[in-house]
Amino acid sequence: MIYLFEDREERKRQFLGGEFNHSLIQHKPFDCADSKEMVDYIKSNYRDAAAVLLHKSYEFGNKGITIDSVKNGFQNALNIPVVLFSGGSNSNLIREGETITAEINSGVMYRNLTCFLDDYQTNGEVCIPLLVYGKNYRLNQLLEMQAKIYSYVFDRKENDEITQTDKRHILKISRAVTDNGLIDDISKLQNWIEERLTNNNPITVLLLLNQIQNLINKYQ
Amino acid sequence: MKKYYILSKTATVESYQGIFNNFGLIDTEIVSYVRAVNHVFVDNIISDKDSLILLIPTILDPFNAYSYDGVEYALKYYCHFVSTKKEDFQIILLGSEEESAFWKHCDYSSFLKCPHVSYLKNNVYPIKEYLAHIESVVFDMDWTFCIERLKQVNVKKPASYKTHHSITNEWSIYRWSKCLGITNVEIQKEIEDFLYFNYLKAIYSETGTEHSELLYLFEKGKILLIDDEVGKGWHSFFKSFCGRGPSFSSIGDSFKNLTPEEIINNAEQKVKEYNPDVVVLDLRLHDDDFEIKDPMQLTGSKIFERIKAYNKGIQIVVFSASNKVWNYLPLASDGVILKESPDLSVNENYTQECIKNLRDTLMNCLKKSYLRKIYPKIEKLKKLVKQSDYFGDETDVMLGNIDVAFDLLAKSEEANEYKAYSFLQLFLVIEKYVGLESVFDKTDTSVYLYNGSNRYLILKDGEQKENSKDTYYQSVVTFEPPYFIFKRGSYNARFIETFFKVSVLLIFKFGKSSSNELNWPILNKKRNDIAHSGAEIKDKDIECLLDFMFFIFDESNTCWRDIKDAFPVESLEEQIIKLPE
Repeated sequence: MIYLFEDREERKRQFLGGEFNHSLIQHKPFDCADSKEMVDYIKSNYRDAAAVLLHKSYEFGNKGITIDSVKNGFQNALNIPVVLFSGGSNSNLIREGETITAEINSGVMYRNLTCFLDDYQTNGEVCIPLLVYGKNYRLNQLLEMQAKIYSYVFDRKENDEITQTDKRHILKISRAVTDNGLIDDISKLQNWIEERLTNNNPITVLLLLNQIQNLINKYQ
Repeated sequence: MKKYYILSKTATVESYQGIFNNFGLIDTEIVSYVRAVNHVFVDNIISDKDSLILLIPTILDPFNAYSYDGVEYALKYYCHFVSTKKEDFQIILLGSEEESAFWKHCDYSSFLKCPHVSYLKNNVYPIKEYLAHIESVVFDMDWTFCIERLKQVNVKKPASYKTHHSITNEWSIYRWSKCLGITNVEIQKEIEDFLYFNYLKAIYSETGTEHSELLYLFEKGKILLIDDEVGKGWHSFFKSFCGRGPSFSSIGDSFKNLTPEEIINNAEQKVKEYNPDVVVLDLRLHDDDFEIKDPMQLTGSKIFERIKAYNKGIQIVVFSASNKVWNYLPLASDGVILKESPDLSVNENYTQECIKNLRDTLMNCLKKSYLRKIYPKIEKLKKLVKQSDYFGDETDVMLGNIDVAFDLLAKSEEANEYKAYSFLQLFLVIEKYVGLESVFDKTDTSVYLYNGSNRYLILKDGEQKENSKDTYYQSVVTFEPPYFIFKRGSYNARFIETFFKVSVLLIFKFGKSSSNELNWPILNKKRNDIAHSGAEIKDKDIECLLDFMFFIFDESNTCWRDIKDAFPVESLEEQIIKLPE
């Protein structure tokens, strides 16, 4: 279940168009009375939460409760992503240890919410990048991989050949792309690198970068 | 000389530096992201007289690659350079994709069409080659072309209304201060970080005016600003704008942590303490206000009602960042000042028009500052009239007349006649009072003044003479121009005038020796002058009339003369004897 803590009802209605119902989202007030009992309160009220979407300026009934304490509370109690949204925020993914979370513009979040919930329903897992980038979240992952590989070959000429050491680095970067929808294409890229180098068929920097660009072009 | 900087968000500043040194690019300084976004660094490179070459990766944070955060930073620098007219610079975007792909993916790819912007692969070889190519190039700029191209980048407005509202505030403060040459107004650094704000500064040139001194306020009085954005620069702006004219105070800085009800109470308290002539009032003072559709439910609207209930004479000018401000007209404000929304700055005269409107609106309201002083007197008069209950069932009508007098006074800036109409409207209450049968009772030949238990015979033996429309009476008061005194004599008139009746009241009800009290003869003459020749009325005339009315409607001033000071009341038999045969 996704829990949405939004105290701007008008904004919610404006973006979601009247009554918004989805079996996997609940709109609830956060009415924990005592910050010291936050973890227990969360465990008993939101045990089924897979992610929390929390207005960054949410006004809690208890003034001792802050956004940070709620965020920490959910992470400590359930180890789930807590996405903060706000009208003034730019949208950014945030990596906190193993957890991917985000700070996100409220307009962007509401626009991508349906698609995010549908994806969660289909795959049974929350995909925070989908909430941030919508359907371009895969492109974001590929661009990330591309940028990292570019940084790695920053001081190489186009016709330099990729070495075995380079290969290990590049494959390591590519393994960070774990999205199910990309895994086939990433595997193909990895196999192509492996096979060519195993067969002493050299890969130049330019060829590698072109291959990556071709892969990305599929996802525009 | 050229200075080279490359921006990096990753922890590879040292390694980048090593690579650049190895490649002979030793003059290139690698700047960490943290340092690059610091205002001191930005200010320093802008004021630097050397040519600047900034190399900025299109993607600074690979985890958020699709946001192209590097392009946003590059644009922000570009806007800084354009707004400060620094022309010897070059921005090189370092991309990790084909330029054609960059055009497809990045929302701001048309930035590449701007002069002094290039796109290179993020690799040391093309960088070295390009830097060698531009080493001897002298940068100059066609600003018109540059701004046209920059406009085509079409930087997005902030998505939220609240953020847009903040930007309109900052934008107005920035533009208006520049226009007036006010230099002590600090724009919040938080807003300066918004790309959109910098973009606006770059595409709209400043509009200083040669005669800005004429736009300041010079009318005396007191102005209070109620605005949650007051700390963002409005206080400093208004303080300078008021100059040596009106006093100025503000409230709003502390609103952020208050509930709407607390904000309303604090504002009301401040109004009562400061007692301003003019309140400049923003209507959206709490975050909840950004969700409210009914304008009358806004925190500012409720403050408006409270202030008007406290003193209707305080002029309230609605100060709004929303061009939907016309929805608030049910508030019947005394003026509207629209903050300068960036959308409207397209018209290059718009800033000056805004400031002229600000000046004219405030000056107009300051000229009405007497209303703030008069209103408590109007309220006091209504209270006295109500307490006295002279008018019985007609009391509400009289109170309405007094309200109308105030409304006419409020309109007197439009035409001075309204002040005279207001005077007449108040005078009418006196006329109605002395016209009551419970005050003066008249028979064919006599006039009595009634005090609730006794009848004072004031005029008697009324007689109509041949060839005259006047009636001739024996009177307990005598006219010794320009007023009546307590002395028996005669009185002849076509009808019993208000001047006579009020004079009798002063002498008999209030125990005065003559009616030359509280400027009554002057007030009566003013009334006649207005009615017959349209005489001009001044504020002090209204105040003088009000003071007179306080006296006669205040029961505590009553000091009835002895009944023997009037004519003895004749018995029924005596009256019958006198009847004409």
